[in-house]
Amino acid sequence: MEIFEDRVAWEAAFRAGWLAHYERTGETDFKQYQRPKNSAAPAGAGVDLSRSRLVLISSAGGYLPATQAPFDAPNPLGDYTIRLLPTSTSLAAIAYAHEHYDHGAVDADPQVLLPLGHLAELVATGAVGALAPNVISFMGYQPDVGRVLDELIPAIAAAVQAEGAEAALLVPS
Amino acid sequence: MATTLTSWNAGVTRLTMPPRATFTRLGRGATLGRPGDAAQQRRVLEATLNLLAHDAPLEPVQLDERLEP
Repeated sequence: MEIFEDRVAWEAAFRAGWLAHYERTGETDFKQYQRPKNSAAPAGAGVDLSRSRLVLISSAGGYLPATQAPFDAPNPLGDYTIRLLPTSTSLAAIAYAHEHYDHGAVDADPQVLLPLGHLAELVATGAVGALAPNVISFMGYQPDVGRVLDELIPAIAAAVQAEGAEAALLVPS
Repeated sequence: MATTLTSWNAGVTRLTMPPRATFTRLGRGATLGRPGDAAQQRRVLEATLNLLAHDAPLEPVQLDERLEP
């Protein structure tokens, strides 16, 4: 099953519409943006989470300013890279490079987007077998679905494999 | 690999046909709940994680969690 069922048609519409407008004017116009759609959800077996390693995947744009470059948040074409955030990191050490949501809530309480404390408690109680050593973080403003498929998803897939995860939780911003 | 997600934006998320999902009435930037409301955040988190026990695809689960207290 393809991750995105109708990539060719979507990309043609994207290039002729939203992207052409941006290249012509330097402005983004989301009235010309076609949301990606699928017609069928993928099948897959469930897992016993109490015996599984869970990886947290976040689109909040979290990064570690002490050691990592920020995501290119101002770029109207998006940023398709990932960062790995050790789950042992203090939430206070994480900054957010993402210009498409108000950071008031996450600045007041990072667990609204990065629930590391809650997940640690669930591991301690045995509800979750283990937490992967790293959070897989990306910046969720990514208008080019082709680049999501060709750049972001392979990077996430490789990271998930390296984490030894058997289950994944995506918390979008 | 089993995956699950939670989203405050059911309209957009539903279009992509995720294998397992919870939908809330929360908002952008506060996906798991109100700042400081650990109980709400845990409810959303646990409801979303509980879906992993089930084979996909699952019909998304609508949670009545909101930002307004």
